[in-house]
Amino acid sequence: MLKQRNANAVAVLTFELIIGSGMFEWIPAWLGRARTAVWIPLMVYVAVAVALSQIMVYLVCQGRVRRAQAVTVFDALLPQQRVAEALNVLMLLVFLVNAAMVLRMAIHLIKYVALPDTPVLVLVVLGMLIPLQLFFGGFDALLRYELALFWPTVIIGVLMLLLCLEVSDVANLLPLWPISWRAVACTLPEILYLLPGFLLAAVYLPVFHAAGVEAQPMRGMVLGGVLAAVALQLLNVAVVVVDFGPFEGAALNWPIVEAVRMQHGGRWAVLFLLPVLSAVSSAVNLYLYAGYRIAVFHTRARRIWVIGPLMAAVIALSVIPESFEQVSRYYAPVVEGMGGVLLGIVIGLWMWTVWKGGVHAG
Amino acid sequence: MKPTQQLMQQLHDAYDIVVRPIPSSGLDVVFISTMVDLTRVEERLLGPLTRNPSKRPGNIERWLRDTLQLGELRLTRDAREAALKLLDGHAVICFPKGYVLVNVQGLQRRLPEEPAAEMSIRGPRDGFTESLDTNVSLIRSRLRDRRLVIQTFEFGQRTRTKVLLLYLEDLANPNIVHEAVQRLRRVQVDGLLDSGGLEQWIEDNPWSPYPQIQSTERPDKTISALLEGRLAILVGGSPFALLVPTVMVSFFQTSDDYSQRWISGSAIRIVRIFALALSVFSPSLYIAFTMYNPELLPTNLVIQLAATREGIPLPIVFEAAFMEFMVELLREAGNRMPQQMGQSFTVVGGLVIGDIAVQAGIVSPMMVVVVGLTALGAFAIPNYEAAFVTRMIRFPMLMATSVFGIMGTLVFALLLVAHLSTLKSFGVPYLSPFAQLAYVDWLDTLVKGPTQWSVLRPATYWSPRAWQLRRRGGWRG
Repeated sequence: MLKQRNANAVAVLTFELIIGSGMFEWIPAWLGRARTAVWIPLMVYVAVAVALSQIMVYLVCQGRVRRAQAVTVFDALLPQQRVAEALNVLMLLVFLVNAAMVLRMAIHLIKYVALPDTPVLVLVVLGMLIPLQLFFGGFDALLRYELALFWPTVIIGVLMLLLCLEVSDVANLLPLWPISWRAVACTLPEILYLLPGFLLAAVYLPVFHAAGVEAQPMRGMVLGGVLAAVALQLLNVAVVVVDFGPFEGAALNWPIVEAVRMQHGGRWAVLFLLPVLSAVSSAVNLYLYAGYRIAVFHTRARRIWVIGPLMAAVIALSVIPESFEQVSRYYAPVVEGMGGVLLGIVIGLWMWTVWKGGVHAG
Repeated sequence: MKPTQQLMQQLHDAYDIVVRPIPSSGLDVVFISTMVDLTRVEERLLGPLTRNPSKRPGNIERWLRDTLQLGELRLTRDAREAALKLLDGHAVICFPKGYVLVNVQGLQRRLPEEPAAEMSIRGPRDGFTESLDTNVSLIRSRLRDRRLVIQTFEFGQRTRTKVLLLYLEDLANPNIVHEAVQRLRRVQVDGLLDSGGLEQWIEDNPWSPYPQIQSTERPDKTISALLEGRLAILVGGSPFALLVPTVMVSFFQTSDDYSQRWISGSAIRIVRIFALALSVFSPSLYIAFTMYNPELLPTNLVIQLAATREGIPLPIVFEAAFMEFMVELLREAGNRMPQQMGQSFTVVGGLVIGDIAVQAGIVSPMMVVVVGLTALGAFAIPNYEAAFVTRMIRFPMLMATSVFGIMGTLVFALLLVAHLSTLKSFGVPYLSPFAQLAYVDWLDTLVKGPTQWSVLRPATYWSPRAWQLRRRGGWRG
């Protein structure tokens, strides 16, 4: 029968790794600084994303050749196992914090749109039932969940976004050229917020390579996934700018939800939760399962002894902050900082591997 | 002890065991009168033997072959084996050194009829019966391929039910065949009376409410499955074939989809998918829209709904649960009643109870409409088991919606997808081909593509050997 871990799945998974929570909560911050010149940091982001994705594929293929039994590219490529373990633990922390952050933000959105009075803990536990169920099915079950929901989610999401253009004003995109390059330059560090998804590639791509997906198709599919995700991000930014303009767009918490709400007397905002919830559950599953893989690889503990503490940690991290602002204030810098360090090490590892001559990986 | 006595010792002295001594030959013919074709016994067995009584045979088997002109003769010395064959409808000729077994089976068999639960508008009208031989002949008459493999198993220490595993040698995935054989070998039951019992033994996840094996009464559906590389399991005494592996979309396909033009077939399938959505979601969405998110509906409709609920004492959730329960009750009662009575009871019961409930002010008229739509949606699903699960899923979804509103519906739907993602049927993901992104198979899922475009066998089940034979009708013969 057709293999579950095939090249098409790589493209979809890459898309989901990059798109993250699908809430696009970063748009106001970008618009706040770069205004209508937001396309410039976006293009920088596109370049970074494409480069990082190709670096990751290169490292995965190198790692497979050197050490087949590895959970991430770090322990596949680094000669010092202790260093690799330390980096993996760091990555595990990033994944857990990011999973908690995504979950808490989604709950904030749900409370804002639909259930203002429901306790956060109840919603968090409700949300964690999905990964709990999938974990017992293993990675393939998780992958099937992601793949089965992918097309319906994308189609509904994109259709709703396109419908948002009904009240758009293209003049809001002007001026295209930045008034202040300094402001645009200040937006560039925000790119780090969008990059932790690439760390997931360090965990998931080796699985596909081990399952027989060759380097060339993987490279193509990863590139396809990255470009599709970036196109969706561009569409979202464009919708916000043409609907609200850069100033109003920067002042809103959830500009995409507000854009949807503007159509048809606010009826569709709740329906927009369907693609958002699907994307959020995908992101939480992927971060949590990546953490689980690392934890199991290093502890060799039984499944139940790993799943329990990991889930408890994510639930606790989601519930502890009192407000959405606290989540942004405390968790975002942690994710950006540690994620940035890890991605820097990935790039260093790539340079080192290239300098050493690499291993022909097909 | 004489062989006849040994044989009789194996079987308790039942009224239908007949022992007929053949005069002056020393032979006894034993058979069970309720299991054999008595005309055949008289004309082919007893007649020739009594007409040649004096020829005391040296080689008994050769003599019997010459005398009886029957091909199906077997010699054994084991009284237990002879007794078991007797129970299979054989006649046993006892002679001093052993037994000769003659197949004179003659059970009453039902003729193939159109399956009541799987009606077809344009497809063939015959269905499987309780007889394995009839069922195999229905398949063989349409599938004249020498590569059709039929493996035989016997289950039930007491019922000794014969089970057949059928597959096309060059199309079935060897891994799936191996898995099926292994699972069948693990079955240990005292008695196996129908395919439903076997299904529960060999399915992947007994804790899931979803059926992981497709059952059908239609030979054409079975052959279509075999041509896709799937396996069929026939159980003696059951008119249902089990088809494995099974994916979720196969429960929404009917043989009519393939008989009609592809546009009509696709339209009907889309109707069925809507029926599924209607059946699962409509009560929950009604509750969500009226209780939690009335802003999602047009204002006039909201006012109308509020007006119809005026004076209803029950909360809307109880109203929905009550009506859903009533529908299930009527359906179950209708199933258990005699056929003619059951249908009218269900229709009249539904109308009367619905009308009286509305008049008594227990439920709103809109709720009756919603519940009616839900029931209709479930009945449009072609497979009984799938329709049943769909109906049952509504209740927990109703509860989730009543607590969390439309969020509850959405999260419950995602939980369902998560559950379905964990399911497999003989190694094939239940959500295939969506979960494997086997795009080439998507043309025969929610819609049915033009026949000219569907020339490839489904990738969902393919085996490495079938890869070369993927083109339907284009493989080497």
